[in-house]
Amino acid sequence: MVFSSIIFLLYFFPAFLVLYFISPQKWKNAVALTGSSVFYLWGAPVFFFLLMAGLIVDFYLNRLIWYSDGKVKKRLLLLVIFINTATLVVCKYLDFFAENLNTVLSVFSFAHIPLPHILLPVGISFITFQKLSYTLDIFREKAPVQENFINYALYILLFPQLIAGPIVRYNEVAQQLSDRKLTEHIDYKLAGFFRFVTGLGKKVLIANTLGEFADPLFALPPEQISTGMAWLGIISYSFQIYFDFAGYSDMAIGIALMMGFRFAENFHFPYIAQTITEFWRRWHISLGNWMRDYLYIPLGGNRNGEWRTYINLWIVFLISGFWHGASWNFVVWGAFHGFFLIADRIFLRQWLHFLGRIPSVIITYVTVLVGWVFFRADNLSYAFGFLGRMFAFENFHTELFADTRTLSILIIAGVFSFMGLSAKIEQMPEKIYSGTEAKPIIIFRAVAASFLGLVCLAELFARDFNPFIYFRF
Amino acid sequence: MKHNLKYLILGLQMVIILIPAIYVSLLPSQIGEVTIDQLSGSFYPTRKLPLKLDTWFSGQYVSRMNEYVKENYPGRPWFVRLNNQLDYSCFHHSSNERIVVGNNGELYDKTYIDAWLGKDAIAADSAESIVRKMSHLQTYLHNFQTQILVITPPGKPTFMPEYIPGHYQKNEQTATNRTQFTRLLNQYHIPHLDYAQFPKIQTATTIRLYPRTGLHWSHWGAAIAADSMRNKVISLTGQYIRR
Repeated sequence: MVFSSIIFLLYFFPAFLVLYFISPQKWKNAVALTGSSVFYLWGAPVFFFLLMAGLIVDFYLNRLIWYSDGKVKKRLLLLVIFINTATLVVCKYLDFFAENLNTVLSVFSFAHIPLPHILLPVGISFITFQKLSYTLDIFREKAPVQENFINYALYILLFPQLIAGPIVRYNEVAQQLSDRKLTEHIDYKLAGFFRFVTGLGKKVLIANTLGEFADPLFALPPEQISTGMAWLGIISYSFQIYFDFAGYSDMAIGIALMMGFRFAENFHFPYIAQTITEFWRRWHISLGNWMRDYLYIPLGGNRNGEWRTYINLWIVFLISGFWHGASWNFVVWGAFHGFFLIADRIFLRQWLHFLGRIPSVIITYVTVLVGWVFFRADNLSYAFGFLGRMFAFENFHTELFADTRTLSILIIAGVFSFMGLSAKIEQMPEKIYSGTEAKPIIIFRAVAASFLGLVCLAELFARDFNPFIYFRF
Repeated sequence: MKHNLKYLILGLQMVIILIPAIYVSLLPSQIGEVTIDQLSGSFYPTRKLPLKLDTWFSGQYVSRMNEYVKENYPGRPWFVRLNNQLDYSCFHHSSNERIVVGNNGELYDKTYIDAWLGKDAIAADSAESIVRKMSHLQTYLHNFQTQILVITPPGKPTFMPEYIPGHYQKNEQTATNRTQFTRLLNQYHIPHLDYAQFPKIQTATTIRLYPRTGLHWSHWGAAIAADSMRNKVISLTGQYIRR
């Protein structure tokens, strides 16, 4: 089920909330787990049973990890990591590996191996990372093991974050899984509702509109795209992916907040970053934090000298890119960002600092745009062709596609993306989204949420274009 | 702020999102069907699939159900209208690809703009063939003391070309169906009424022939058209027709 679907918004969500709110405290987790199961079963019934089987195996293996020590504990840890990583690799990357192997085999005129074509379970990348987070936190004794299967299953399957994150680390919510008395407060419910509708607005009003513009443009062969159109297309895509994903994260955080769960932030004005390093502290924060805690630091982090740090960074970003999808595009995208992270450490950060804030933001944004070309393109040759058009500076004719509505939304998206340059505005989301008791803010949020909700519903009823970019990951 | 008030706000918001469920389950049975005008248009209505393991597991049931619910939700026409109105009011944008938003918020149908530009003009010999047939029909009907009257009603662009977006460039030399037929009808002496004369009336009054957001004649325009037709019929037949 998708948050921005009519079925979810008008039937599942209200029905679930009423049921959840009226349930006694001790039943809430069971209700939440049932709701989450229905949420997943609705769209992906085949994978649900595989997922549940995996959860049962993991639940008991993790308990064994918790109650054992020494070598046994380490071996069990490796076993759980292997099972989960192997499942991810088989489901997501087997075709990719087979295709590349076939390319090599064809060079030596060997027969091709058949492609397995395994269906990709919805949300497997996020689910795997959450499962690994649980295992590693248990192993490191950062949080206690779950004795109750419902609580464990709820941590993995909790529907707000189930399909596209944010990646919630176990130690952040371990306490809330068993006791949410403190966080189940009317102020948080109100704030959560507002946050949900704001996210819906970002997704439906901004991301969908810009996606409707960018998609046909990226369907054109690069040679038919003028420089102006190429820039307009990639700028639109940069806002589409931001408002799509940040909107989804807002919806997830909002629903969770209404249920009494407090998820960490996932986005914070990423396009005002002055360096790529800073960009990754503002973009998909939960992934960055996961990578830092469960991969970069275990690899040695920055503790083993400069060159080892650079290699670790690059490994982390290559894996991060590859995690997004089984394609060389994502590998290049990860390597591209890894390169700039290393460059930041060597010289780029000082350089940009010398240039000043606004030039740094512009240079970083353009760098990110170049990265998005690899992310959006269907293959590497298209990506390079598109980049060729962007930097050909030949023709700035753009009126072929962009209408007033698209251009207006593009400008609004730009304003919302860059208004964080003002320090006061940068802190604003914290105030607006918090469980405040201030009367004007509560009333403003109630009015804004009602109006925005109606407008979003109108848009959803009137249009069919409603994809979600991060679903395929 | 008191907690009671906060609960009231949350409750109200919940009611707003619960209205559809309440509507679907209670209203029709309690107070009768609430009628909302259906949007007209051409489409194939989505039919529900039976919920079986194979339809569910293949994803067909879910995707069909999503479409079905969206299409059959009682408030859908209202939401679609709200969206179209917002698009037009905020962005001067039309959700309908056939509708062109001109200057000053004036709406046009692209089909009529194409007709005005002559893009849909048929070949001269085809037009002449049609008019020749009309002429034969006129001669035949004359034996029965019956007159024919051909009316050429041009679209909004002919009357109000000044608001059409600039990228629709009209070449006055290009023949349109209306100019072709008017010339041929004159040539074959077939009685006809060319409503393109209306702009003279339009300039003589402040009342509009077409509403700003309408594609068809205003009530005033329709009355003028009917009156012109009546006068023409009287002049052709000599018979009085009551207003």
